[in-house]
Amino acid sequence: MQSTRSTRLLSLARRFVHTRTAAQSTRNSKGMGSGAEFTSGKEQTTHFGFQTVRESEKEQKVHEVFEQVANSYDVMNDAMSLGIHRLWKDVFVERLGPTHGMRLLDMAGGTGDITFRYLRYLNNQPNPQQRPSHVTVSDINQHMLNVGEERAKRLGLTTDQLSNCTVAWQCADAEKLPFPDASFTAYTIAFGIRNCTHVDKVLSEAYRVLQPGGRFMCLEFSHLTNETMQWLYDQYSFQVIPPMGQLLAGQWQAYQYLVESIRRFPKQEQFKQMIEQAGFDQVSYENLTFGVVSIHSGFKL
Amino acid sequence: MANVRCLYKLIRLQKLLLPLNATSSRLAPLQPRPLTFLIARSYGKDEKTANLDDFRAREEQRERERDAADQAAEKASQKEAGGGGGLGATGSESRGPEDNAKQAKVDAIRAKILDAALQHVPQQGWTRQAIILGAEESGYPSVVHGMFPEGGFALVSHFNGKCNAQLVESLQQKTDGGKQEVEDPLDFLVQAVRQRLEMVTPYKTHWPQAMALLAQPQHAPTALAQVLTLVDDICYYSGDRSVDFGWYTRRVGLATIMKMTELYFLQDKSPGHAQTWEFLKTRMDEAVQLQMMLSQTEGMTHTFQRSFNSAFITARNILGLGYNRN
Repeated sequence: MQSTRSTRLLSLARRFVHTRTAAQSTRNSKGMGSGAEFTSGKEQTTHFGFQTVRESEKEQKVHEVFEQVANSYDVMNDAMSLGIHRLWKDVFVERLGPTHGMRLLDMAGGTGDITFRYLRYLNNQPNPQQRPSHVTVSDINQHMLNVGEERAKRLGLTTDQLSNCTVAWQCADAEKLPFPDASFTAYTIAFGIRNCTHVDKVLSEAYRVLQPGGRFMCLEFSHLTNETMQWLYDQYSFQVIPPMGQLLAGQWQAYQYLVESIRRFPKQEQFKQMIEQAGFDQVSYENLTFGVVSIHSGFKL
Repeated sequence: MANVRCLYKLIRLQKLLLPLNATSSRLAPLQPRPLTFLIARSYGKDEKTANLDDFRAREEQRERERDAADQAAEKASQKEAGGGGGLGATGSESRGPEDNAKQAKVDAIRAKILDAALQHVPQQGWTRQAIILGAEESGYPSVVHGMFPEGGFALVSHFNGKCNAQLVESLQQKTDGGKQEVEDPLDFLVQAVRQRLEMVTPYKTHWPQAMALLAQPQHAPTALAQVLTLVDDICYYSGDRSVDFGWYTRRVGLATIMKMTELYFLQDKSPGHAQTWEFLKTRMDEAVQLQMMLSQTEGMTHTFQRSFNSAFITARNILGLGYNRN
């Protein structure tokens, strides 16, 4: 009798200890963290969609997301935005206004949408002085870059097939770029900056690699100006996109992360101030489609 | 009887066209003048004109006081901002000295690029390509053309602004800051317009393109503001201190004449554009005549209306359409 009671007490105690540690770990990973907070450990936490994860984990988790979606990335883009993402990217490159002699760093360039538009724009411009241009496509995920390189070969936009333009494909982390100072005249990052753990580090790295007079441009999902439309957009994002991801790409979680990370990104004005803090001048932004995406632009003067 | 009334109106017209020796709020910080001058210079023994002088004097006095109060308030706020600015500007509303310095730096760079771009206009026209060449000459990569999203129009409005500033400076020198009286205001206007148009001569080949850019609706606010400020400055330095509706009619009239002369100037091939200046002089004379005629016929407008009405009724009766509607 006594032994069973004591064993029962012991097992109860064990279960109690287990649940306590389990609860602590869940509190760490799923919480209401807004940005970085200090935990009992040494590391800060950040947001991964609506979850809170350690900063070292976020990079790994983002890497996994894009590893899984790389093959169907373009198809899913077309499906989710009903093809409008092509117009957004067209407008983005039009605003940049590529000229011959430009050296572009297409960060988070992945499958190369912005780069191909840049190359086509240059092809349509006359080049009487035969000035050479350059573009480096960079992404943290090699798989995305591989998809991009294959597309480039298919479209005939590789260095060998182009005159007066060189294209380089480089795997790099936006927070620690392997390029020398002042080596580019333009830096673009389309739909990539919200996946970065430290946005301010990305901005200061961008400032570092740009030449004086260089331009920073960012195309990113942002917040709508109208409350009702924001609600509609939320319904579409949370009810339609993850199931669509499951159907078309077999990935529910990845697209859940995508729509959540859009909500966690700072608003247009706040992001503008962050860009100004990094040292850029004449910072401005332009909303497209009522604020679904926003183009931020700044100059290193 | 009619002659006396005509003379009356001529006197009033003179008062509108000729300058008065009055001070204005713009000159208040420079040199305030005694008010006795105004009373001594009144032309007619008209009661209305004497009241007008008093009214003008009172308003100018009030404006001077307001300007002084504004300046004092600005100095006080500057002292505050100077003390608080050391802590660092945090809010976006308070434009501290840091923001102003940054904005000034950016503006200086923009002006430098556009000035360099002006040299390329004769070959490239008022286009983005000219801005790109100007930027590269100033030592910036071609991507800075993105600082001028309006493209060619940015170049045109910069050029216009420069020329307007140059003209205003020259008018200021001629009239000693607006204090010196102008003997022949009509001739002064003609000379000012001529000087302004002559500044366009080096870019004459592509000026039609510039005018087309100015006419575009999305650029209308800036273009209109520049023209109106220019016209206002010219009229002011020619001695116009009127406070009645003639203020508007004179400026709009001058703007119209300037535009007409500009269009004539585009297709003028005479040496030194002599025909353009003749055209300008003729238009100015016509404008003065028109104004005199309008003011003379002021009393007769009613007669015109009544005679027109009766002619209409007669015609209707002849046609058999008229019937008693009572």
